[in-house]
Amino acid sequence: MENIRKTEKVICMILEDINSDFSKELVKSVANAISEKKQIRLVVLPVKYDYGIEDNSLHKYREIYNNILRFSEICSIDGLIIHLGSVSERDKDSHGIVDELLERLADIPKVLVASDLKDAVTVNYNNENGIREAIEFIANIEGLTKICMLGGRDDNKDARDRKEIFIKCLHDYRLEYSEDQFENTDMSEDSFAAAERLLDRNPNVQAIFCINDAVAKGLYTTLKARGKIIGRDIMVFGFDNTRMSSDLDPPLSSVGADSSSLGGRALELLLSIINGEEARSDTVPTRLYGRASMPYETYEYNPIELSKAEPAFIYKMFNDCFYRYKLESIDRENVDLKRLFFEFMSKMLTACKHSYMDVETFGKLNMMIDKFFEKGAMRYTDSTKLTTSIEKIQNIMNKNARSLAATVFINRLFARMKDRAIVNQSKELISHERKTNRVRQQIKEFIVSCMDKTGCSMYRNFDKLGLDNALLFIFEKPIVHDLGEETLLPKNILLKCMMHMGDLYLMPEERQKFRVEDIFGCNKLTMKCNGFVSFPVICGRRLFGLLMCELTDDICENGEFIAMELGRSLALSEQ
Amino acid sequence: MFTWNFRYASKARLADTFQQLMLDPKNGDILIRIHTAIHLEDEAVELARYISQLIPEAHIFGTSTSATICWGKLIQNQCIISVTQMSKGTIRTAMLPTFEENGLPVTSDDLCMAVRDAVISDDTKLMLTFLTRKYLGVYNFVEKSNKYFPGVQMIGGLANTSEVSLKKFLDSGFVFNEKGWSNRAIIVAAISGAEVESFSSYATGVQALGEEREITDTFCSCILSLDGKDAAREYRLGIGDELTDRPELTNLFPYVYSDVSDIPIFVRFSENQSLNDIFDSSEPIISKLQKMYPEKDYNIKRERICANHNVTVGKKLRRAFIYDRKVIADNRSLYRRIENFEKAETLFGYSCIARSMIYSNCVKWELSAYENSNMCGCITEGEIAHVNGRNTFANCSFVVSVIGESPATQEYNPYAFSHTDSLIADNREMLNYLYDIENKLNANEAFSAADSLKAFVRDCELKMLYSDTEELPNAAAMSMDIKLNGYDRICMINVFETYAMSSVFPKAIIDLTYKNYITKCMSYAKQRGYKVYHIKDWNLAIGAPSYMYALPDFVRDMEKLQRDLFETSEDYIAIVPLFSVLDGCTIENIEQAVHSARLTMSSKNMQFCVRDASSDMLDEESIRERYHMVNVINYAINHDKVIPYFQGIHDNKTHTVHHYESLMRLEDENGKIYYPGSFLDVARSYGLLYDSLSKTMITKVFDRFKDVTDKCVSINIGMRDIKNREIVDYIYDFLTTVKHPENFVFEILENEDIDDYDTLVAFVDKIHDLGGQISIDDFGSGFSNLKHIASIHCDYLKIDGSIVRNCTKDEQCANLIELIAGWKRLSKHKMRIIAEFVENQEIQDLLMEYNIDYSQGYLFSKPCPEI
Repeated sequence: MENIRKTEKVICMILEDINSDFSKELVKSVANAISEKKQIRLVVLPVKYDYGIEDNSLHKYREIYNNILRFSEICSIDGLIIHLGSVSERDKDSHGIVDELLERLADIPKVLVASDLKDAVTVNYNNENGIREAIEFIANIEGLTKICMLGGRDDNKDARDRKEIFIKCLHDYRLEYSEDQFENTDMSEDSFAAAERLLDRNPNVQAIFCINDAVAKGLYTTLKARGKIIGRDIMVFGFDNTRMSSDLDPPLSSVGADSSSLGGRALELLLSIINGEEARSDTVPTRLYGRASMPYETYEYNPIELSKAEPAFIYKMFNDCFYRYKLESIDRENVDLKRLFFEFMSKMLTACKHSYMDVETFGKLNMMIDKFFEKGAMRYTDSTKLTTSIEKIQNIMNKNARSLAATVFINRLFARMKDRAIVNQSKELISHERKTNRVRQQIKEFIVSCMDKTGCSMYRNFDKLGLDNALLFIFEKPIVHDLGEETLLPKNILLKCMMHMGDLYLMPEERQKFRVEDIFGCNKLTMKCNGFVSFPVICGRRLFGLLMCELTDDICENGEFIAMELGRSLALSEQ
Repeated sequence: MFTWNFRYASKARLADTFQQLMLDPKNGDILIRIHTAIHLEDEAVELARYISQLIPEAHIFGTSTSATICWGKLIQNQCIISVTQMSKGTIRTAMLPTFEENGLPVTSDDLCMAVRDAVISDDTKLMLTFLTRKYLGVYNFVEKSNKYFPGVQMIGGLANTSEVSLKKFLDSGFVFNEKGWSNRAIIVAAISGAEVESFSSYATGVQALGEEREITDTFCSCILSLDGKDAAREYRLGIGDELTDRPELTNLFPYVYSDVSDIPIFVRFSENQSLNDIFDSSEPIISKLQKMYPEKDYNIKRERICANHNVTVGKKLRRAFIYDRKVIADNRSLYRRIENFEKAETLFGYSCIARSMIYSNCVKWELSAYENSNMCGCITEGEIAHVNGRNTFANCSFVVSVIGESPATQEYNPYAFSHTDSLIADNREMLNYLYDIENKLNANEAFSAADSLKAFVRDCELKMLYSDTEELPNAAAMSMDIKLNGYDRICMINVFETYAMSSVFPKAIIDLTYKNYITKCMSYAKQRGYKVYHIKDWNLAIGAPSYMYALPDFVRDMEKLQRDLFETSEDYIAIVPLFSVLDGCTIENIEQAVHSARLTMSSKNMQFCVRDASSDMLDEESIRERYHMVNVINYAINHDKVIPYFQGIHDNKTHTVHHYESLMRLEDENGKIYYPGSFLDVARSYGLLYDSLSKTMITKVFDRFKDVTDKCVSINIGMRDIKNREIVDYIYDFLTTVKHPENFVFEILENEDIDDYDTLVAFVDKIHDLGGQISIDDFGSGFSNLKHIASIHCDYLKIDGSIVRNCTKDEQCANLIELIAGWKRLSKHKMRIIAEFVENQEIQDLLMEYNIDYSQGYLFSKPCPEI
C-alpha cells in the first residue's frame, strides 16, 4: 500500500482553455501563492469549453476530453478552485456539465474565479478602477474623444460588466458613445474580423479598449495591416495584464490586478474555508499598467526623491520598473531580485550623491547587474518600459551630477542595465521558440521509438518526451466513452512509469496498482514541484489514463499535445 | 623573599594571620601593601597604624582603589593586604608631598630628586609608585625618572576609589601609611638588593592607526589644538557625532604618543565646558598659569578633550583603538616573558579602570593566566609601566612586575590562552559601534565627516575583521555581513581529526595540505563571487546573500567544492571536509544552526547537509504549549494526579481477562485528562520530570497490586528507567518482598533507542531471577534487531498496534503477524504473543486464525481507572 501524506492538502484547480493567457496566468498566480511551508499540493485539471453542437468531431473530442472531470469527483481532494467562465449564463443553452459538476462536488470546499454563480464563493476582478484609470488618462491627459471597444461574448459576465463600465466612464467624462463604437469578439486572438468591422465603422478612432489582451493581439495585426502606428496614431489597452501583453510589439498597456492576484486571493479564501472559517466572495482591485501602446506613467520620478536615495524610494522604483514582481512569491529556489536591485541601485544613488565611486565598487556593481538579469529580471517587465524608466532616472541624475568621474561610472552602469535588459529579453524569446521546436522534435522521436512493437516500448521511451517530473497512469483496459453517456472510472489504475528529477522509472508490475482515489495524494509526486497538471490520455473514443506533469511554463502549451500523442501511440500499439 | 596575600576581615583576624606568618623583622625587611576599596581615608590610616603596632618595623604602603587583585583574581569591594619579607634585600618606603606649601605642584625634577633621596640606592631594582589624580605632572615625572634614577623599574599608577565611573572622574583617590593619608602626595616603595632581580612589562591591546598629528596648543591636561586645528572637534569628527550622546565611546578610541605607539592615552570628551569649568582657578597652579597665558579665553564654553596628565606642545599623537586579537597577542608575549623569568618569587599586577569597565571580560581573562600565582595589586586610573627599558606613564594597560632574590616558580595557567571566547563579548561594543557607523555612512547622515570617519572605520575593520593567520575575513566579519549586508546563506566547512593527522604526519606536510585546502576554497569562492571567512584553524565559512545566489546554485557550487577538496593528489594528506549549508541565517540563529547541523551530521555520518537555520527555532505556540505541559506535569506530580489506568488483556483461549496493562494518565486542575502522547516527550526532554513520573507510576501500580493474588499487571518501563539506579533498586526490593512476584510483568518499549543491551539483559535476567516477567512492547515498530530480541528471554511479545490495526486492509501487515506467530511456533522458548489495538471483530478473527494468544483493544475493553 502506498502511504499517503496526511499532512498535505490536495488542492485541485479546474479550468478551461489552459493554453489561454488568462488561464496560464491564473495557474501561475495560484502556484506562486503556495509557499513551501503550507504543505499544499496543487493539481490542475484542464477542461475544454464545449460550445455544445456546432462542430461535431470537435465536440466529441471535447466531451471525451472533459472526462478528466471524473477524476475530480473520485479522487480525494481537500479543496477546489474553479474557473469555468460565466457558468450560469452559459448553461442556459448548453446541457449543463457545470451544474452537474458543482452538484457532485458539493461537499468539497471550493472557490470560483471570474464567475457569475450566485451562491458560490467567488473571486472576481474589480473591473471598474482599472478601466476608469485608463479612460481618465485618455480623456484628461491625452484629450482624446473618440474611444471604441472590442468587447467579448454576451454570455460572459466580465465582458458585459466591462462594457457597462466602459460606457459609464465615457458618459462620466462627457464623451459620446453609440453602439457603433462597440463590437463583439469571441475573446480570443481571432478578433481580426471584428476589428476590421470596428475600424471600418470608426475610421477616426483614437483609442481602443480591448476586453482582454488576446483580443488586443488580434487588433494589433489588423492595425499594422492598415499602417497605423500603435501608441501614436491610435492608443490601445487591454485587460488582464498577461505576460503576453509585454511581449507584443509595441508592449500593450493593460489593466491588471493591483496588489494581489486573482489566484492568490482565491487560494487565500479557499484555505480559510478549509479551516472552517467563514469566507465571502471578494473582488481584486485593478489598475492600469502603462506601456508603449498607451504611454501612461504609473509613477513619476522626481529629482528630490532621487537625490535622497531612501530605501522606500528605491523599492518603489523597483515596483514600477518590474511591475509583475510584487505578485510573485519569492521562494528559496530563486534569488530575491528586489533586494538585489536595492543593493546595487542604492550604491549607485549614493555614489551619485557623494560624487564618488571607486573602481572596486564599479566592478562589483557590474557583477550584481549581470546577476540581476541573469536571474530572470526581465520576466517581470518589458524592455521598453525598463529602458524608458532607466533613461528618465539617468537624465535626472546627470542633471544633478557634480563629479564627472562618478557620473561616467554611473552612466556606464545604466547602459549596462539597458543592454542586459534587451539581450536577456530577446534571449528568452529565442529560447522559447527553440524549446517549442525541440518539443515537437522530441515527440517525433518518441513516436518513432514507439513503433517498435515489443509491448512496453512506449513506457521505455517515456523519457524522450522531455518532461522532468511526470507520472503516467494507465487503466487496465481503456474506457470507451459513449457520447452523451456518463463514464464510469474503474476502482484501480496502474502507474506504468514516471519521470523523477529527469530520470525514468519503469514501475515493476506488483507496484503499479493504485486506487484511483489516491493518485493525487500519491507520494510519488515530489514536493519540490510547484504543482501538477493532469491531462487525459485519449484517442478516438477511448480514455486510456492520465498524464500528470509538473507545472512548468511550457506545460500549459505543450501538455495537451503530448498527452494526445501518448494516446495515439497507445492506440497504435494496441492494434 | 616570601610573599603572602590575604583579604582583610577584622583586626582580630589580622593579628592571627600575622602570628601565623611568624613575621620577624630580624629575618629581613618587611613590606606590607594595603590596597583598599572599602576604607575611608581615616579608617585606612587607623588600619595602617594597627598593623604598625603589630609589626613595628614593617614598611607600610597603602593606596585606595576601586577593585583589588589578589592571588591573580579580581575581587571587588574588599581590602587586601600583601606581606612581603625579604631574605637579604632591603625595602624603603616614603610618602612625599607632590604640592608645595603654597599650593603649587612640585616640579617633576624636584619630585624625582626627592624620591631619589628618600628611597633609591645603587642596587634598587624595582620601585612601586602611586600618585593621585591631582598631580597632573605625572607624565613628566615618570619620564624624568629615567634620567634621575636609570635602571630602576617602576610599576604603579594613580590611586582611585570605587566612586569613580567612566563618565565622571573624581579626584578622590588617596595614598596612606601609618602616619597619615594624602591626596596630594606620592607613595613609593623601593626594593633593593644585590641579589634582587626584577622584570616588568605590560599588555594593552591597542592598535595605532593613521597619521601623526602634532599637539600645537594645550592648557594643563586639556588638548586645545592638533596641527593647528581644534582638537576636540577633530576628535569628534573622527568618531562620529554620537560621541556627544555617548561620551563613553572615548574609551574605545584613545590616542597614543607616536614614540610609544602601543601605550594608549585616554582623553575625556566634554560637550560644552569652558576651561574655568574644568580647572578650578582657586588652585594656585591654575591661577598662576592663567596669569602666564592671559591670551587664552577661559570662559568660552565649547567642546573639549582632556587627558589625565599635563600634555606638552610638540608631542605627536596618533589615533588608536583596542580590540580582542591585539589583546590576546599582547598578553601572550607578556605572559611568555613573565613565565620565563627565573626568580619569580613575587608578582605585582595593576590594571586600568577603563580596561576593567569596558573590557571587563578582558581583565578577568588576562588575569586568569596568573590565577593561583601570588600576584597582588589593584585597579588604578593610569599606570606606570616599564616599556622597552624605560618607565612610561600609560593608560588602559595591564602592567606586571615579577621580582625575586632566588630562583622560584609560580603556578601559572597557560590554558587561559586557549579560551578566548569571552573576549569576543568585549569586542561586541566595538563591533556595534562599527555597525552603527557603517549604517550611518550608508544612510549618509554624517556626510560632512564621512571621509575621515570612513577611512578610520575602514582601518579599524581591516584590523578587526581579518583573521590573524590567513589573509581572510574572520568570524566578526561574517557576523557583520550577516547583519548588515544580507549574507544569509552560510556554508560552514570544517575538517575534523586534524589532531590525528598531526600524530602521524610531519608538520611540513600538514602545513602544505592546510595551505592547499585554504587556497582551493579561496580561489573557488572568488571565482564564484562568494565570500570566504576564516573562523578558526581548519574551520572556514563561505557566505552568499540570498538576493544574489539561489539556494540550488549555492548548494551545487558547494558540492562541487567538496568534490574538489576530496580529489587530492599524492602530495597532500587526504582530508574529509564537512559541509553544512545553512539558509536563512541571522546573528541570533546561526550558532544554534551550526551546532544542530553538526550533531545531525555526526550522528548520521553525513559529509554534506543543507538546513534552514530558522527551522531550528521553535515557533511561539509550540514553546507555550511546551511550558504549559511542564506545568501540567509538575501539578500532577505535586498534587497526586498521576493516575494509573488499566486495560484488560483478553485471553483468546479461555475468553477471560488474563492480565491488565497499566497506562499512565495525568489530570490537571480542571480535571482534564492527558494521554502519554501529549506529555511523555516533554517529560523526557526535562529528564527529571520523567523520572519522577515513572517513579510515581510504578509506586502506585505496585501499591495497587501488592496484595492481589489472582490478577497480573504489566507496567511500561523505558530504557531510561532501567538505567536509573533508584527505580531499578526499588523494583528489585519490591519483587523480593512481594508474595506473588510472577504477577508483575515489565513491558520494555522496543522502539525507544536501546543503546545499551548489556544493561537491558542484566535487568531482564534479574527480573526473571526475582520471579517477575518481561514483555517486549511495540514489537515491529522500530527497526528491530531480531538477534537482540531473540537474546532477551521475554515472556510476552506485544505486536505493535499499527500492524494490528491495518492487518485486515493490508496484506503485508497480515503477513507480519503470521511471521511472528510462526516464529513463536519454531522457537523452543515459551513465549506468548499479545496483539494490541484490536478494534473490531474482523481483526480478532484474523488473529484467532494465526493463534495469537492474547488480544487487547477497544473490542474488549477501554482503559479505565478501576479494574
